[in-house]
Amino acid sequence: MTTILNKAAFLLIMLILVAGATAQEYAAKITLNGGNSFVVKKLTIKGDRLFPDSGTSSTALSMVKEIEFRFSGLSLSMCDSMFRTGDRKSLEGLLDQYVGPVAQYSNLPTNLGDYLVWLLRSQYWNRNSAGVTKTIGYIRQSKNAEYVDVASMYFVMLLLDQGKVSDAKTIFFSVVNAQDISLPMFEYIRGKIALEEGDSRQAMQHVARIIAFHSRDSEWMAPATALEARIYQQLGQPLKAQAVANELIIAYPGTQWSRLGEQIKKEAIGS
Amino acid sequence: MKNALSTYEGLLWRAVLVAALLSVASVHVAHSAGVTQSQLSRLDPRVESTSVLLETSKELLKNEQLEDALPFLEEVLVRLEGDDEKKARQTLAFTLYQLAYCQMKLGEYVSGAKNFVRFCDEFPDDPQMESGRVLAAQCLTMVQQWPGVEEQASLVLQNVRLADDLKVPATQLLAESRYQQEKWGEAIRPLGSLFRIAKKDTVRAGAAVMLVTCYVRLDDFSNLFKVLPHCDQAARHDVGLNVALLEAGDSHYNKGEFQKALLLYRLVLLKKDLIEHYEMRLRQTKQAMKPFVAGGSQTLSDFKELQRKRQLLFDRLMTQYKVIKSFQDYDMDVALRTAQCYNDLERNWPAHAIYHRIYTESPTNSLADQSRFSAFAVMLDEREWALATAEGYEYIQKLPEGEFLDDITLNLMQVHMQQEQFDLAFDVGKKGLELSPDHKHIDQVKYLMGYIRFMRLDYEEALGYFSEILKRWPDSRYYESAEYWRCMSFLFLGSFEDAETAFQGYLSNPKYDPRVYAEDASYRLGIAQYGAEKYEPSEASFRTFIDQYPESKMVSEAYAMLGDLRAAEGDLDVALDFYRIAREKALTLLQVNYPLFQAAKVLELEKRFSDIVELMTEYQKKWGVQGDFANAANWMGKAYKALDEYSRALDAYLDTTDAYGNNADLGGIDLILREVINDYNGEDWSAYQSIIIERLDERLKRAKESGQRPLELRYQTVFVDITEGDERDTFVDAVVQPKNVPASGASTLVLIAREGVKRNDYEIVHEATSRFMSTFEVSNNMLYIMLANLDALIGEESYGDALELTEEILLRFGYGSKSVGFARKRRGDIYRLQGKHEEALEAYKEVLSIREWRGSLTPEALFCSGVSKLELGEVEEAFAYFQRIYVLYEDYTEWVAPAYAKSIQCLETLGGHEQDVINTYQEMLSNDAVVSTPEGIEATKRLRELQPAGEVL
Repeated sequence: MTTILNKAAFLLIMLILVAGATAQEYAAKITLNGGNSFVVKKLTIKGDRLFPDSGTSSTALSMVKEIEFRFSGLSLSMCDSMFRTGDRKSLEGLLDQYVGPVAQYSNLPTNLGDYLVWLLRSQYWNRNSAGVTKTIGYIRQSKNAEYVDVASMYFVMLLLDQGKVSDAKTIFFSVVNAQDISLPMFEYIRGKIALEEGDSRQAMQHVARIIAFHSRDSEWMAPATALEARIYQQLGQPLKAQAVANELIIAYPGTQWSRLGEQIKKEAIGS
Repeated sequence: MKNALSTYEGLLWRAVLVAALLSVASVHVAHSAGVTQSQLSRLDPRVESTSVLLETSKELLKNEQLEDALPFLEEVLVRLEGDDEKKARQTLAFTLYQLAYCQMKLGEYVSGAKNFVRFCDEFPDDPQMESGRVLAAQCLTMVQQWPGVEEQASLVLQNVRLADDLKVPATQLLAESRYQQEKWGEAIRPLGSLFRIAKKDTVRAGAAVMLVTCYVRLDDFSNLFKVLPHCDQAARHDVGLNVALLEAGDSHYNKGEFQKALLLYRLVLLKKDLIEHYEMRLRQTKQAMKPFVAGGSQTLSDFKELQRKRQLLFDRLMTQYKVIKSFQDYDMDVALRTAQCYNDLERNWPAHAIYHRIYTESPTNSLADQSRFSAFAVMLDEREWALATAEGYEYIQKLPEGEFLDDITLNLMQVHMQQEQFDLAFDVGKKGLELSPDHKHIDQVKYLMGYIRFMRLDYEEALGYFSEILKRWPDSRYYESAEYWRCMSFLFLGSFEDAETAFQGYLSNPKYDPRVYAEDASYRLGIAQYGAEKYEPSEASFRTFIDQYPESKMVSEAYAMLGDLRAAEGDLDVALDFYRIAREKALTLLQVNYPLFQAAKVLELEKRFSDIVELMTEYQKKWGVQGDFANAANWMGKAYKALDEYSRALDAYLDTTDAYGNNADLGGIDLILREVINDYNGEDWSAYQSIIIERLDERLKRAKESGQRPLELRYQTVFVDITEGDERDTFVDAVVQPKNVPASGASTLVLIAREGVKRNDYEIVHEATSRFMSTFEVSNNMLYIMLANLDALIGEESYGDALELTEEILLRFGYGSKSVGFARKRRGDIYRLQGKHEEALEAYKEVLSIREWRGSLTPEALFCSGVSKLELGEVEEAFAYFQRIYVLYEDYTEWVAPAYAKSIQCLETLGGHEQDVINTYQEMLSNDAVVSTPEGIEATKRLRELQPAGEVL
C-alpha cells in the first residue's frame, strides 16, 4: 500500500507541476449591483476601476456586487479532501499557485475566503509562519467576521507556538464564540494555555474532551493526542506518556505526529 | 439431434455458415421490427437448416429477443459440436459466446457462466476469450460462487498486457472474490491494484473499504491507518466495515490489547450517523428505479438489467440498514467500550469525559448506571478525590437503588478515610447501609465504621461494631481484624480485664494462620495486664513478647514497660537497666525519650543528680534539636537545683536557650524560659533575682550583637514578664511591632497578641495568631492567643468570625479550662453587642452552668445577663441578676460596684422605689472596696442629692 500511495502522491505532484507550467490560472465571474454579470480571465484593477480583458470601458468597483473566482485545477472539495488525507504540502502548493496571485483582492466581495482559510490551515500545519502571517493579513482585509475569527484562532496557535502566551490569550479572548469556529480547536487552545500556565490538570480536561468526542477530527485529534502525551510528561508520568506516544506512532504513520510520537517515547524511556 | 446431423448435412451447413459468417457485417436487416411471433411459430429449430438457424439467431439477437434466440443458438451448438473444421469452430465459438451472453442477460447465471467458461476453455485463442472469462466471473459473482470467480479472474489477469477495460473489472472480481472468501491477505494485492487503476471514484472507494477491512482482519494497523484517510463518506459508512472494526475492536479488547481496541472502536461510526447515511442511500436508490420509458435510448433488456442491479443494491442496503437498526444501544455501547479502553490504558480523563457524557445525555439508558459508577471509579484511579467524591455522592443521590450503590458507598468511605475525613466516611457508610440493607460489603462497611469510631476515640461504639461482625459474619475476611480491634477497644476503654481476656482469646484462636496481629496483640496483652494491675503476668507477657519478637519495633517499649514494672517493685537498678536497653533498642525518638525521662525519675529517687546531669548532657549532645531538649534542660536544671547549684541550673537553661532559641519555630524554648521566670518570681530562688537579671541581660545583649533576632525577642519577652512600669513598657514597645511577628516564638506571639488587643491594633493580633496557628500546632499557649484573637474580632465587630472562633475554641479545648469559659462568655457578649439578647442570655446560661468555670466568670456572666434582661425590658429579672452579684459574690469588687449601680438603675426604672434606691446606695457605700470605685464615687454624689444634709451627716 505504501507503494501505491507514494506513486499516487508522485503523480499528483507531477500533475501540479505540469499544471503550474501551463495552467490558465483562473476565471472570475463579475456580478454587478444591477444583476448583470460577465467573466474575465484576468482581473485588472486600476485605482477604483475594474477593466475587462479587452476594450477600454471599465466599471467602478463600487458597482461590483460579487467576484466569483473559478480555478481550473482547484476546488473547495479538493481542498477538503487533500487536507483530510494529510496531503497538506501539496495543498499549500496548489493554493499558493492558484489563490496566491489573487489573494490581494480579498478586500473585494470575493469568494476567496474559504480558499484563504484552507491556505492558512495548510500553512500553519506546514509550519510556514511567514505564510500564516501573510494570509491572516489577507483574511483580515476581507472584513468578513467569520473568516477573521478563524484567522485569529490560527494566530493564537502561532503565538502559543512562539511562547507568547499573554498575547495569545488577548487574541483568543477577543474572539466571540470561539467554540463555534471549531470546538476541538477551542478546547485545544484552552488546554495549551492552561498547560503553559502550569495548570496541567485543567489542560488535561480540555484535551480529554477532544480525545473523547472528536476522535475522528482529521485536524485536531493528532495534536490533542500529542498534547496529552506532553501533559503526562509534565506531570512526571512517563509510562502514560509512552502509551499515548504509541498511539501517535500507530495511528498517524509517516506523518509529523508519528515522528513526534517516536521522540516522546524516547524521552519517556530515557526518563 | 446430434446424431441426425449426417456428414452431408455437416458439409452443407458449413457452407451456409461460411456464407453467413462472411455476411455478418453486411447483413441487411429485412425485418427491422424483429422476428414476429407468427414467424417464430412457423420455425422449428430442430428441423430448420443451420443457415436459417443462424440467420434467425442473428436477427433475434439484434432485436434483443434473447429468450427467443436461445433454442436456435442451442440447436446450432448441437449441430456444430465435434466439427473440427476451422469455419465451423469459428461459428461454434461465436454461437457459444452468444448463448452464454443471452443466458447472462436473462439472469440464467449458472448456465451463462458455464457456457462462458466452456467458450474460454475451448477457444483460448479467441479474441473474446478474456472478456468471456470476465463475463463468466461476473455471472458467478451473481450466484456468489466465489472460488469460481477467483479462478476465472485469476486466469484473465495472467495476461500482463491485458487491456485496461478488462483489467479493471477482472481485478475487481478477483479482489472481491478473495475478499468474500475472507482470504484477507490474498485480497490485498488485487485491492491495491484496483485502488490504483480504477477510474471511477465509487470503485476506488469500494476498494478502500475492502482494503481497510482486510487490514483490520489482518491486524495490520500500519497499513490500516495509511488507507483510512482515503475512504470517502460512503466507504466509511459501509456497515460491513463498521462491523469489522467493532468485531476487531472486541477481539483486541478481549486479548487485553487495549490500544489497538481503542483505535478500532474510535473508527466505528455512530449508529445514528449510519442510519442517516443508509436512509439517504436507500432513498436515492429507490428514486433511480423509475418505470421503463419506451422509445428512449435504453433498451428494455438494458433497463431490466439496470433495474435488477438497482434492486439488488437496494436489497443489500436494506439488509445492512436492518442490521444497524436492530442494534440496541449501539452508540452507547461503542462509547462505553471506548471509555473502558481509555480506562484500561490509564488515560482516565478521556474515559471520564465519555462516561460523564453517557449518563448526562442519556440518564435513562441502561448503561447510565454503569457509566456513573465508572466515572467515579476512573477519578479514583486518577486520585482526583474531589471529583471522585462529587461523582460518588451524585450517584447516591440520583440512583439510590443503583446497581453499584454498594461499591460506591464503600469506596467513598475509603476515600474519606484516606483523607482522614473520618466523620464523613462514617456518615456515608451509614447512608449506604440505610439505602442498601443487604449491602454486599456490609461486613467491610461495619468494620470500617467500627474502625472510624475507634479513631474518633468512641471506643464503646467501636466495640459494638466489632462485636457485631464477630457475631454475624464468622466467615468475613474482616473477622480477624474485627477481633483484634475489639481487643483494642477494651484496652482503650480501660476495661483491662476484658482486654486481657480478649487478647488471650485472639492469641489462642485456632482460626488464624497466619495470625496477622500476633506481634501487636502479644505486646498489648502485657499492657492490658499492667492496666489490670496484674503485674506479674504483665511482666511475663512482656518477657515472652521480647523472646518471641526480638526484632519487633515495639521491643524498646516492652523493655521500658519492664523498667516501669521493676521500678514499681522498688527494684530500681534493674529498672534502670531495662530503661537503658529500651533506649538502645529504640527505633524512634519517642522510644528513646520515654525510658530516658523514666530513668531520670528513678535516678531522682536514688538522689543520683549528677547522673541525671550526665544523662541529659549526653542526650542533648546526641539528639540536639531533634530531641526533647527543653525537657532535658529542665531535668538538668532540676538536678543542679537539687545539688544547690542554681547558677549552673541557670546556665543550663540559658545555654540551651542560646543553642536552639534563635529558631523562632521551636516551641520547647518557651518551657525553659518559663522555668526561669518562675524561679525569678518564686520564693525558692528569689535570692538569685539580680543574678538572673544580670545573666538575662548579658544573653540579651549577646543575641542583639550577633543579630539573632528571634533569640533577642525571646529574652525581651522574658523581661516583660519579670519587670514592671516603664521598664516593662520599654520591652513591650520593642517587641510589639509587625516586623517582629515572623521572628517571634510562641510566647512572644502571645505577648504581641495580648498587647495588640490592648492597643486596639487588631491587625497585629491577627498576624501573630496566624503565624502561631500555622507554626505551633501543639502548644500550651494556643488557647491564650485564640482568646486574644477573639477579643480582636469582637473589637473590630467581626461578630460572625468571632462566633466561629468561640465554637472552635470549645471544640479544641473542651469544657475543662476556665479560659474556654471566658471564650464562651465572650460568645454571649457577641450576641449582646448585636442586640440579640435572647441568644446572649442562653450563652451566659451555659457559662453559669459549667462547674469548672465557676469563679470570677460567674459574677461577670450574671452582670451581663442582667444587662441583657434590662435591654429586653425585663427590669425585675435584671434587678434579680444584679442583686445576686453583691449578695453572693461580694469579693468580686469589679462586678459588685457596677451591679449596685445597675440595681439602682432598675429600681429607678421600675419607679416607686425611692427608699429602696437610698437603701441600696447606703448598702453599696458601706462596702469599703466599692466606695473608691467610679460607681462608688458616683453613688456618694447621688446619695447626697437624694438625702437631706442632716441625714447624710
